[in-house]
Amino acid sequence: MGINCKITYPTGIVTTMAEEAINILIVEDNIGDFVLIRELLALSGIAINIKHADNLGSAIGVVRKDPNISLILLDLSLPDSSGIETFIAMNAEANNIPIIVLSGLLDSEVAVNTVKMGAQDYILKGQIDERVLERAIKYAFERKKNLEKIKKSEAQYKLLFEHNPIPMWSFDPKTYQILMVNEAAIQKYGYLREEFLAMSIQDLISDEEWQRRLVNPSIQNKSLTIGNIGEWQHICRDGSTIWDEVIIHSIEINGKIARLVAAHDVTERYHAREKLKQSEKMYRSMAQNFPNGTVAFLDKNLHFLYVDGKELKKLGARPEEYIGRSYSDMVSGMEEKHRVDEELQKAFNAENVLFDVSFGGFDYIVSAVPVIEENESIEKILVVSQNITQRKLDDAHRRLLESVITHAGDAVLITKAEPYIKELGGPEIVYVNNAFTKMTGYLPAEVLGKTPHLLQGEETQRNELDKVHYALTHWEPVEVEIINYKKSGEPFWVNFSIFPLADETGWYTHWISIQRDISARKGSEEKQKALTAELTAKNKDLQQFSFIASHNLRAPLANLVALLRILEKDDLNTEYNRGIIDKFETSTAQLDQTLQDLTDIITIQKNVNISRETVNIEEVYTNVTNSIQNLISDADALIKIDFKTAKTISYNKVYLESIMLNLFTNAIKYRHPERPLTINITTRNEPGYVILGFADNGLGIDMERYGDRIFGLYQRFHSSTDGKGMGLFIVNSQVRALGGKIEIESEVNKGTRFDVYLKQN
Amino acid sequence: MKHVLIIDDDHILVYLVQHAFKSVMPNFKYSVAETGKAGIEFLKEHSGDLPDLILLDINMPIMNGWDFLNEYKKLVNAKEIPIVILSSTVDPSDKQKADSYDEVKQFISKPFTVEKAKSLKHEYLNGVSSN
Repeated sequence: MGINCKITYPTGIVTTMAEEAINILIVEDNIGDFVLIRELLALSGIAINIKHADNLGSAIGVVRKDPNISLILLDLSLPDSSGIETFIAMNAEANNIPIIVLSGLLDSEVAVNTVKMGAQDYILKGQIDERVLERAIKYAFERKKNLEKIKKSEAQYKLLFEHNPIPMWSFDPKTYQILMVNEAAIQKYGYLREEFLAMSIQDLISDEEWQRRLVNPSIQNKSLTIGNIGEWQHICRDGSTIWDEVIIHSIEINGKIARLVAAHDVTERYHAREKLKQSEKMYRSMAQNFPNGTVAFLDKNLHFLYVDGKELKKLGARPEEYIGRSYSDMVSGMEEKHRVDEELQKAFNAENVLFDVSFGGFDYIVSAVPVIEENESIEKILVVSQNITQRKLDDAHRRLLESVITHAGDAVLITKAEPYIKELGGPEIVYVNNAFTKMTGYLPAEVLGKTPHLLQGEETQRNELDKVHYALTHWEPVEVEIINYKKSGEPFWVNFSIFPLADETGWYTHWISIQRDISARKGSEEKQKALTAELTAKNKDLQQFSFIASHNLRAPLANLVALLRILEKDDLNTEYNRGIIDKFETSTAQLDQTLQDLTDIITIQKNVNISRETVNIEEVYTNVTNSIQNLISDADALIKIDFKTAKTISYNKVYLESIMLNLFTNAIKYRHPERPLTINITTRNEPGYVILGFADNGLGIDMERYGDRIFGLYQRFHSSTDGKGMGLFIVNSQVRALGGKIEIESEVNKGTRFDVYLKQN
Repeated sequence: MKHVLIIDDDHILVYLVQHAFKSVMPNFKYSVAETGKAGIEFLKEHSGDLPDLILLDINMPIMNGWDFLNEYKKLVNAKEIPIVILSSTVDPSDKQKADSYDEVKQFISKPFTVEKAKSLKHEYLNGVSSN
């Protein structure tokens, strides 16, 4: 079948086409038809690359391999496919490449159907003409041009995306998966490209932020909606966060709808805004909570621009009511208004002013300061008004109380509550009253800033101070009686109670100590104690004495009674009776002696005020030794004396003679039978005493056995002599009656040493 | 023959005691120790011939009655002898002290009379004499 046709082309296209050929695939098994079509196309003078396939299989292969095919001319009757099936198979692979069906007369009806199914057109092989081919080629050319255009714009778009300094990425609106990301985003957030592409936008947003968006669907939707501008907090790879202003666009990637995100770092702006919000909130809350007063800004007309403070409630007003009104409106009286205006006006002259004013039944202290703008002008002033009504009342009350404390009879000392430093003896003294100065001699200036440690000294009871320390560290009141010291160094007994003082919030601020000099009471108490102790001891002595005395009286008396019973009364003058009567005499003599002893002892005991005189010790010694000259010479005693250190003492002479006499007779009585007696007598001084030392080399006393009853009445430790256990009892009684004591050292068969402490006044 | 040890430094009392005992039991023997110490020594020396009763005074020189009792506790073979304290004391604490010694069977006051000797004989000296 012959084809004859002429094709005309728009001039503009020709040049373009010369540059790049159009690729046309001809699928035709009839080689005659193929040659004819090729010839007709060649005649057109257009640069056309023709590819030929003679069956459907190879045609599909060409299309898959070559993306530059712009047009397919398809014969429906092929060796491996025929009819409408051929078109369906080809069209499935053609991927929008236009197909023009070549059809024989026999299947023209089928060809018409292919157009309904998407074919560009059909050509009846018998009727291939210029018009049909021209249309076909034109279409192929347009398509080619479009492809070029798209290619170019895609490249430009890619360039714009990749090299944009603004971080950008795109994501799938359904899965949120990140699909693309640009270099700026990689730099900004620190993730590697591979990491980015494995993330979803959820990974890029903080959990908190994501939750917030999820919980609130409107935000969720909005934030992902095209054209929406929002602020997102993004997380960088290193964990830091960036606030971004993002804008979302819709794009198509490989035929799929996606979202493009462009992010602009607004972190600084965000923080600045947050900070501003915070500080504004802070100032506002400060003003609202301003206690006992108001905070206000006034303009140049002294009208309120802003006012707040707790005081407003007290005045029964809301802040808005004041806006635009004059500050001095609150004050009554023209003169007063004028004064207030004048004072406030000074602040506009860059002065800080402070003045008193009364309104609403309260007293205020007002402070006004200028607010200096950046250009150094003063457009408004800050006015702080503080209600001082209560304080004025408090001041008056305080002055009253202070006058009471100042003139109180008891000493008052006030310290800070803290710090309590044990080593420094307590907290710092902040107040003392007149009575304190009178009691201690310290002027306020001498103790303020110091601690109560100043008042303590050697005799101050540490255990009582520990009590105070415990109380002060446990915020408990305490009362103690201790010895303190006056400024003169004189110790005195003081009773002080300490209690903590709390402020209105319950916080302890001070310790208050009320002190009283109790020396007089303590003195008599101490005396009382000593007296009681002395009386108790004396009472015990007396009881012991009475037991012993009655024993010694009873024993001979009982004997007399018994002897009388066994006396044979019929004939008194018998040998037997004479023996009994002898025993009568012995017993009555014993009784008499005991009574005599008791009389002596009672004489010592009842002499409460024994007179003292200056006694020469050597003279006493001489008197005593003279009186027992015979005893001494019989014992052949060697006596050494040394009274050089204390020649005279203040003592009762009779007592001293008695003491010395008893010691001498004791030493002689209990001398050692196997050696001559030596006695050493000395005197020496000790504070408050003269000590008379009296040492012998006699029998000695077993101190372990008898130590506790050496000075007891009728205690005898030797059987060989006529001692009746009176001597040491009398010595001890006499020494103690004058406030002294006796110390004794003794060893059996070695000797005894007495140290007699003669109390000096 | 019953044997009584009298520990007392009062010679007249010793006379009265032996006199009283003789009148109730003519066949009787007594020994005297003038101090507590002498009493202990006597018991040590007569360990094979111990007395049947000890009459003990409290107020004596060289080891008084209490000292004697404390030493007596240490004598192994003498513990079975009844001890009777004979004293003129009026101090109630002496009586209490005496109660704290198991060895002390009685606490009697002077004067010592025939009646007391009878009672003591009946109480402590009625058994068959060891001699």
